[in-house]
Amino acid sequence: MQLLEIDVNMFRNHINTKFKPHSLLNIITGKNAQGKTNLIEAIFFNLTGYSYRANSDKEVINWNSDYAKVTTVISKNNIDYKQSIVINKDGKKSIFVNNVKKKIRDVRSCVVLFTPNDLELIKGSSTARRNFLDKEAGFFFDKYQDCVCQYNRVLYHRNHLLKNTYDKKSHLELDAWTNQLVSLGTDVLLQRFEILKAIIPIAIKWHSIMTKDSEKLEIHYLSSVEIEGALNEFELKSKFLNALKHVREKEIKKGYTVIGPHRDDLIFLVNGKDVKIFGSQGQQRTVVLSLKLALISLYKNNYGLSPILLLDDVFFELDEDRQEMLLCQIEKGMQTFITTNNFKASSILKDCSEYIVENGRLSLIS
Amino acid sequence: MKHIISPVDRLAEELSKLPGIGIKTARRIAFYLLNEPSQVAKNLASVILEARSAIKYCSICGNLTEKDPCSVCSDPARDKGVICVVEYPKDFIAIEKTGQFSGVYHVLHGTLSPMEGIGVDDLNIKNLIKRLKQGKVKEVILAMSSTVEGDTTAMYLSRLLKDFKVKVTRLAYGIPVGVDLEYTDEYTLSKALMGRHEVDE
Ligand SMILES: Nc1ncnc2c1ncn2[C@@H]1O[C@H](COP(=O)(O)OP(=O)(O)O)[C@@H](O)[C@H]1O
Ligand SMILES: [Mg+2]
Ligand SMILES: [Zn+2]
Repeated sequence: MQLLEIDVNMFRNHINTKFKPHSLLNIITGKNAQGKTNLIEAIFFNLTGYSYRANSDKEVINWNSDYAKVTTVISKNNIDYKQSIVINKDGKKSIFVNNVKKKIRDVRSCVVLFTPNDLELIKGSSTARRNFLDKEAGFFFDKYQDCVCQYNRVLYHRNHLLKNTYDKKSHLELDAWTNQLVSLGTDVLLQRFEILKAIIPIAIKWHSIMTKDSEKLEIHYLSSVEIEGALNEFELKSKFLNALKHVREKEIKKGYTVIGPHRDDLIFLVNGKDVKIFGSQGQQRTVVLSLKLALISLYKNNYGLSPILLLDDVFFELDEDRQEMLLCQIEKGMQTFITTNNFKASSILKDCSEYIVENGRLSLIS
Repeated sequence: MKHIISPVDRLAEELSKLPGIGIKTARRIAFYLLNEPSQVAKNLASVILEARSAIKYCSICGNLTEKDPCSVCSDPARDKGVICVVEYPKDFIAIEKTGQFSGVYHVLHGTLSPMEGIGVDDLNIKNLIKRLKQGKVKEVILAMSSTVEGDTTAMYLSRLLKDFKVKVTRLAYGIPVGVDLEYTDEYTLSKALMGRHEVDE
C-alpha cells in the first residue's frame, strides 16, 4: 500500500498542506512545535479513522475552523482511489472513497506508528497494554472488534446496575447481565489468546536479533480471573462465572465490575525479570521495538497487508545498528514517514524526499 | 440579558425529541409547518390528539389498540397457547407481516437497559407472569432483537420462566447480530420463526 498524494486541511496548525510523498522514505524536519507530529497524526487519522493522541477527535480541528479534512490518494493492489475523512465541530466524522460515503470499518488501512510515547506500553498503566491488543494487534480482526465492543457495552450496563439500581430483588437481573458478561468476556479472552499466539513468537525473534541472543524475552497474559488449567471455552466460562460469584458482594459494595478482560494485563519478562520494574530504559525500548516490528510482520503475514510506517521522533534516536535494521525492513517496500528536529543527513539514507515544516507549512528541500 | 426562545425554536425542539429526528430535520419540519396554511398544522395537531386518545394498551398483551382486548387477543382463531414476546409494537407488526404466526403476543415496551435506568419493573413483565399463571400457555417464544440488550432480556426471561411448565424458545437467528427486528426482512424473519430453538439454560 502506498500514499500517492496527501492533502491536509484545517487539521491542527496545517491550514492547507498538500504534497506527493516519496514512494519509500519521507523525512520531515523542522524546529519544535511547527507541526511535524500534527502531519503524522493527520496521515494516521485518514488511514484509521481516529486520532491516536487526542482525547476527543474533534481536538484536531484547527482553532479557526469548524471542520478538519484529510484526503489521500491511495494505491492498493494496483488500484488507485481517493479517501477523505472530514470531522466537524460536533465530532461527527464522514468518510468518502472516490466521493462515495463509507463506513469507518470498510476503509481502515494498515499503519504502524512509532512514537516516543510507546514506552508507556511498558511503563504505563494496563490500559496502554490492552489498547495495544485492542487497537493495534487486533485492529483488523473484525470479529474481535465486535466482541470487544459488545463486551464493553454489557460491562457498562452491568456497572450501572451495580452502582445505581441493584437491590436484593433484582438478583435475577444481575444474573442475566453476569451471564452475558461471561459469555462475551470468554470470547474476548479466546481471541486475545489467538492474537498473542500470532504475535509473541515474532516479537521474541526480533528481540533476540536486537540483543544478539544475550537477552531472552517472555510475554505473558495476566488475567484478572483465575483461569489456570482451563482447557476449553466451557471451562473458561465456568471459571469466570465462579470467580464472579465470589466477588459479588464486593462488586455490590464497590458498585462496579471488579474482574474480567477489561482488567487484564500483559507482562514482559527479560531474562526472567519484569522489565517494567527492573529493566533499564534501553531494555524497555528494545521490548517496545520488538513489539512494533512484530506488528509489521503480523500485518504482512497474517492479514496480507503491507503497512505504512509512521515514525515520530524515533528514528534518529535509535543507535545505528537499529536504524539500519529498520531501514532494511523499510526497503522491502513499506512507505515510511519519519519526523525529526535534528536531522543530520544520515549516510545510510539513500533515496528519499526531505521536507521542512514551518508554522504548519510544508516545503520540499530535496 | 433576557433569553427569549422563539416559537420556531420551541417547535423544533419538541419535534427533535421524536425518534429518528435530529435538530436539523426538526427545524425543516418546523419551517415547513409554519409556511403552510394554518389548516395543515390544525389537522396534524388534531389527528395526533385523536390517535392519542383513541389508542390504549391492550390489558392482556400490552399492545397498542383501539379496543381492549386487542384484535389478536380477542380473535378466537388465534392459538392462546403460544405467546410471542416482543420488545415493541413495531416488532409485533413485523412478525404479523410474515403471516407465519398464529399464536398471540406479549409486548414488553423495551428491553433491560441499566444505562438508561430501565430495569425489570419498567417492562411489561408482571402481566406476562399473570398470563402464564393461568396455566393455558404451552410455549413462549422470545423474539427480542439480537442486540446485547435484547439478548440479556431474553436470558432474564428464560430464567424467570423456568418455574412454569412452558416450553421457552428463542428465534433462530439468521438475523445478523446487532440488528433490530424491525429492519429484518420478512423472509429472514419467517425462517427465524420456523427454526426457533428451545432455550436450554
Ligand atoms: N487544534 C489546533 N489548531 C491549531 N493549532 C494547533 C492545534 N493543536 C495544536 N496546535 C499547534 O500545533 C503546534 C504543535 O505541533 P506539533 O506537530 O505537535 O509540533 P512538532 O513539530 O514539534 O511535532 C503547537 O504550536 C500548537 O499550538
Ligand atoms: Mg512532535
Ligand atoms: Zn392484546
